[in-house]
Amino acid sequence: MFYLKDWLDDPEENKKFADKHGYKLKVPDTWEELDAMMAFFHRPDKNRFGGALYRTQFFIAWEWWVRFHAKGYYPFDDNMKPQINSDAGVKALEELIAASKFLYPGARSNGLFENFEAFGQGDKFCNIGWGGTQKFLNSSKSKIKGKMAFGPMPGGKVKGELLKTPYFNWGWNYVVSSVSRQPEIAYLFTLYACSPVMSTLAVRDVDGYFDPFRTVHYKDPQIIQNYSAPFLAVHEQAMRDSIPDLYLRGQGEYFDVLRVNVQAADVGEKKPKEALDEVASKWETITRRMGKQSQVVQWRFLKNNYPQGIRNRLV
Amino acid sequence: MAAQARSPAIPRFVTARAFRKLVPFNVAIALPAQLTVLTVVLVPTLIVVWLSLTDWQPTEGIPWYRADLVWFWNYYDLFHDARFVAAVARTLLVVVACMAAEFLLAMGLALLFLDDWPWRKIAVSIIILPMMVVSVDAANAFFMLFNDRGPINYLISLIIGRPFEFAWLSDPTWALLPIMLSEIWQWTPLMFLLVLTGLMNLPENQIRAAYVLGASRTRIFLRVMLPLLMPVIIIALLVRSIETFKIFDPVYILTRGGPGAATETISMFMYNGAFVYFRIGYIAAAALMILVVVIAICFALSRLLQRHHR
Repeated sequence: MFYLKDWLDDPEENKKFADKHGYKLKVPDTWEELDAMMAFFHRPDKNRFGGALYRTQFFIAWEWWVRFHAKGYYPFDDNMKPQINSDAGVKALEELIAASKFLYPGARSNGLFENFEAFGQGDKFCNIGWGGTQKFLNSSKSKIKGKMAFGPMPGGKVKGELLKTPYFNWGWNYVVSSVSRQPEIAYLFTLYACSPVMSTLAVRDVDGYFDPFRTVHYKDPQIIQNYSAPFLAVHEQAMRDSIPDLYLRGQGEYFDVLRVNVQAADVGEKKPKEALDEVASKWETITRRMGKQSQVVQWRFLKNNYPQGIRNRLV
Repeated sequence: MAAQARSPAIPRFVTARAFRKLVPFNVAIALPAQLTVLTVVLVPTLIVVWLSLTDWQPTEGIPWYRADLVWFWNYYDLFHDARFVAAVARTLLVVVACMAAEFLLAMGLALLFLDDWPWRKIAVSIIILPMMVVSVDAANAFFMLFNDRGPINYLISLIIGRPFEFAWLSDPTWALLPIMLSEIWQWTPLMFLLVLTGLMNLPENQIRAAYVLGASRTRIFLRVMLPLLMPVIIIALLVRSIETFKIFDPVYILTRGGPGAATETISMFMYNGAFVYFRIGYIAAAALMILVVVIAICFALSRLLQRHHR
């Protein structure tokens, strides 16, 4: 997460916020705190907006995904029965919809790069993004270079304790096709591309799409200069603590159903409970079609790959 | 002199003379091209029919010809897939709305350009420019026009005298409008050219006779020109309907089928199904069902044409 440091550190704003909410402005720990800060800073009459979070396809589903996990639940139980339409899921969606009111006007239509430019104008309190976002925001094209505070994705209070669930999504994969005529060479190329030396060169590229993923990247001076040290500290910690993506067969279908319905709920076409019930129903169909046995096995394997600290707290 | 003996190995029917008797020359000339087209069209169609009876996904790692048969379950699922049905209905709405708008605009423009006037040729060249633009670029232009802080909202603000920032592209009710406007803007010129050509080739004697007999311009248009122009109109509507049914670029660029699935047309549905989730078998069945719909539209319009000829 990206925050405008000036706004967080402003003494007058701090006083007003503290008077209203009982705590000072800070990098928020929970989604509730973030939503409260976005509402506080949202002053469209003064051309200031609470946030530049995304409300377009896929992005909106990803945000809901993190909000939901932060409530302390897995998306499926051990037998692949969806849990996303539980009270926690509905609450997460209601909170997401409520937060939409405090976003800038382009949130529902702008894509990735428009988002970078929009947040780089310096009139929105916070943004959500990746290393690539920071590459832009820390460049000369941004008006807020050096004026940001960073934090991991907010979490939630589960049984009174803070639970943060940063989410590793949208990565790059090298895949060797099963019908490749030169599988060994293809595999060797993937090793070469991901090697410490070559990957460092790729991550260094300011206009490139690769972000740090090896410990050696976080120590490289050029990469530190491109991203800034405070950002890299947060990025590295988030990478270590992140929950995995939904690595199941049919991931695209599961998420497509989710994003259609979450977006429909966000624009008022469906009620949150109705939307998530439909998602759960379609997910059951997808699971049956993919083969429930194999999906259960894969899901249980995936659950075990959640970070230890998070795994113990999700149900 | 004895007739030259034919080699007993060559059957009679394959000799050149026999072939010329069997296949007329004009058919033989076109045969290679016809066979090529048939192969290019028929073979993929047969493959699609096969795939529609399976639940093949390339990510399964098995070749398409070894996919397991699910028979007609894909068709059954499609009939009960609310999103597919909605996409078809939505696409038909887009086709009807765009055809109506394109036809009315094209007819109006064509009537204006029927008579010669100064700068007419230059004006025609300007009018047909949108057709030359790559459809992705046209859609991008409309994306910028209908942005929350784009020129359209700015113009409306000027007219109503207060700030107007409507999220056209993310409103489930209105998001189809920019898509249709992009399509209409780009392809009305084609309709205009077809209708103008038709108008310019109408028999002048009938129109002149009507004038001489004292008919008003409106009456001449409605009772003489329009009926004579009907074959051209039907063909123009047929061609544009088929093309509009396949609308994809404006949808992908402007809304990606969102918000939710509010602007998802059948092409977008099939694109997501085939290239995002790789449900090739399911989408093959959808493609065949759509083919039936499009053939029905063509059949309906061609019946109109036949009725007109009678």
